[in-house]
Amino acid sequence: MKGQLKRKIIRYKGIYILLIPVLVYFLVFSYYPLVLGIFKSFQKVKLLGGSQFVGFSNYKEILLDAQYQQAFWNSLIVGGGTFILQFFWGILIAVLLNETRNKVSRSLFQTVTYIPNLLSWSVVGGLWITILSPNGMVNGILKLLNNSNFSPIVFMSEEVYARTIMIFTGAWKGAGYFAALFMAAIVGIDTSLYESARIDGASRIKQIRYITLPVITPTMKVVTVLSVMGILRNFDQIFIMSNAAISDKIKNLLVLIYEQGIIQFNVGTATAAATIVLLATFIISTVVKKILKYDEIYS
Amino acid sequence: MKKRNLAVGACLMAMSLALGACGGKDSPDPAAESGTAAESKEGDKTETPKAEGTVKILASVTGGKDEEEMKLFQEALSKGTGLDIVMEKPASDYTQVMMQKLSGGEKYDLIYLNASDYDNLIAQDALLDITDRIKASKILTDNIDPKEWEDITIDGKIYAGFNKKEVHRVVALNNTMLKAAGIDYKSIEPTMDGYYDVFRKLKENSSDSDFYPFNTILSETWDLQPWMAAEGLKNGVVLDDAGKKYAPYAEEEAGPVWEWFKKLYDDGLMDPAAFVDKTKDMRNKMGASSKKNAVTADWVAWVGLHNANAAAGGISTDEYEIVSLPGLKTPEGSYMLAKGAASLFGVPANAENPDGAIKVLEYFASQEGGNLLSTGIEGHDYTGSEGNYEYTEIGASHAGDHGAPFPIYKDYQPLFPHAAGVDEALSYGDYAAIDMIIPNEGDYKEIIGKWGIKMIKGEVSTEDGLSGMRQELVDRKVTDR
Repeated sequence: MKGQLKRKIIRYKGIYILLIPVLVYFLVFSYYPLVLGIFKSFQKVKLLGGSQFVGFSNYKEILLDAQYQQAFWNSLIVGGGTFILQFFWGILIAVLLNETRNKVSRSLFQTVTYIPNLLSWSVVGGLWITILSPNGMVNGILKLLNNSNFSPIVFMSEEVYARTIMIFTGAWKGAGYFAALFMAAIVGIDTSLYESARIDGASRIKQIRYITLPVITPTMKVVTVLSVMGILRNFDQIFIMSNAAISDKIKNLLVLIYEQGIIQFNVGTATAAATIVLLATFIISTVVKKILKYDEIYS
Repeated sequence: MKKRNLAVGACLMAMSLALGACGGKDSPDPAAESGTAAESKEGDKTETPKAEGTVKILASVTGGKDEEEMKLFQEALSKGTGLDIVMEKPASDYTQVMMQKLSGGEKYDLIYLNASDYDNLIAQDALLDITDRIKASKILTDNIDPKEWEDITIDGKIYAGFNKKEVHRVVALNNTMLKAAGIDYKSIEPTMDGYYDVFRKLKENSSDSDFYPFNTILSETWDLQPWMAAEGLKNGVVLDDAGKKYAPYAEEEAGPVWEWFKKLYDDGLMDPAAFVDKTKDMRNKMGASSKKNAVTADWVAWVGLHNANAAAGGISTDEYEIVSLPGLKTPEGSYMLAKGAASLFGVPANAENPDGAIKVLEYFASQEGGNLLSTGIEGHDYTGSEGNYEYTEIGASHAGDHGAPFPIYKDYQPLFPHAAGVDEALSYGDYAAIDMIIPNEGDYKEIIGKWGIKMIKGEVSTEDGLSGMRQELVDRKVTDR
């Protein structure tokens, strides 16, 4: 076994040599900071040296802190909700694009749905805050539909709407991107399959149900696994769109880590929380991979 | 095979952690290295050592407005202090950059700090105790109001000098709208009923359905002090007789003021966007181009800026004029205004040239330093000689602010007169007081804002809201009771 490995390394040494810079890059810029961060999570960190080893006390503090517990659930609900909505929204856009025969309409529709993904959360967050403001578009429409005594709804201050708004705006921003991924899979479908189905009298819905969706299933699995890795890592949106009135419902782990680690210089507890996020992400993605039988895609 | 690999990996991980932990314990403490404690004890009444060499500064608001002007500012500061000044000014995310640079081992002689950073860095032993150096400096003791030093003294020690003089916030009023509603602002009754009546008349006099006479920023608990004064309640966190921290706005006494806010909201006199707006939005609505609000609380400088911006846009004072008042009267017949939290320069515990750092702080506390920090660089931002100065085009666009619109020097004489309305707003300065510096100011604002909004919207009763506010402040270690 060992001899075989050695022979393979010698045989492909040129390729291994070429991989060394990549390995060094990842060691220096990814794994070294990661390991350093894990060390710090076991320390009471001082900015100018003198850090002390405190064992698991940072972890204990976080796990017992009600704010972190709430932030964990907020991360899961908003992150998970956004992924699910974005996923189905993306499929819907992709399928509709595939069904659109006019090239100009198709190109225009694809561009319009993809553009939000190119904008930063500063822009998208500001846009939706304005649309949902008391003088914004949504209240304007409601005012038109109601009588003149209509009192504007301050959507961004209503706890009851907070998570829905975050999930909707998150999905709105990312649906075009998912659609582009699904479209890439759809365009690879052999058109003769659709022609045969049409000759056999299959309706458009049936073509979608029995040809399009099954063919893009491996892509759906890849998108799902990659996305669940990010559901606990949503920072920009919540940082931009949160305010005191709704923070209880949407403040997530990364925003809390930022507040603790950067604003209040509690680097030890912040890195401990970041390590927990890493572990939780690992567990969630592993479970999802198992459920989806992800590895079978490549076997 | 797999099991053996796992075991080896776990052992390596455990060893690394143990080594890291040992390394942490043995790391030299720069605070101890720099001899902070010794200096504190021996520094009494000694002369400030002659400063020379390079002073490295990490700045936030202080300096030039762009890279080119930063160079000019550095040169001017070097010339003024006789030191070799090296300044860095991160484009954004200052606190994050500062933390990364300090923890990365980068050395500075001065770092810009806001009040919250100041408190947090002291707790980290990251700042040098410069109390004795300040006492030994004639300039720093004579040129700065002793009250300013008291405000930044923590447990009898001072760890920073001043970037600027913090002024206060006042009630800003659109005088044109008041006049149109038949109100003389000087005769407004400084009570909740008096202001309610003013807001009602302003609303009745406006045909704009999106106009709300009053606005404040509840999501950030932006300046409620002029209104909470009605019950004599101080902004922020204060200490009781037993030395326990509490928030006056969360006490039962604050109930009538929260109920007054609720009445303003229910009657359409308070902008509902107060729950979500930021100060930028509030200022836009108060500005000459919008006029969606008529009464807010804002910095002294903003009273002048509103008027200056209108004048620059060719709008006459008949069409738009902002004036100021000190808010509601306290039960004792005075007023209460909030003074800005300190804007400081601290000396890091690992600074290589603390003497040079003190010399820079001395320069900032002089007339010349004040000129540089406010008006800007001579020959670039302004030209002329004493009594006959003129702004350059660039200088006019910088509006007399290069980090300190109001320099810390107590007898500072501005080179240019203040904008319209500023002197009147400054005249209320005697009513202003600084908030106690706390490390978790963000938590305070979030909790007060959140429960305040719930009470105003009627989602909870005033009693329950105040009770919830107090409980959460204690839970999140902002207050003790």
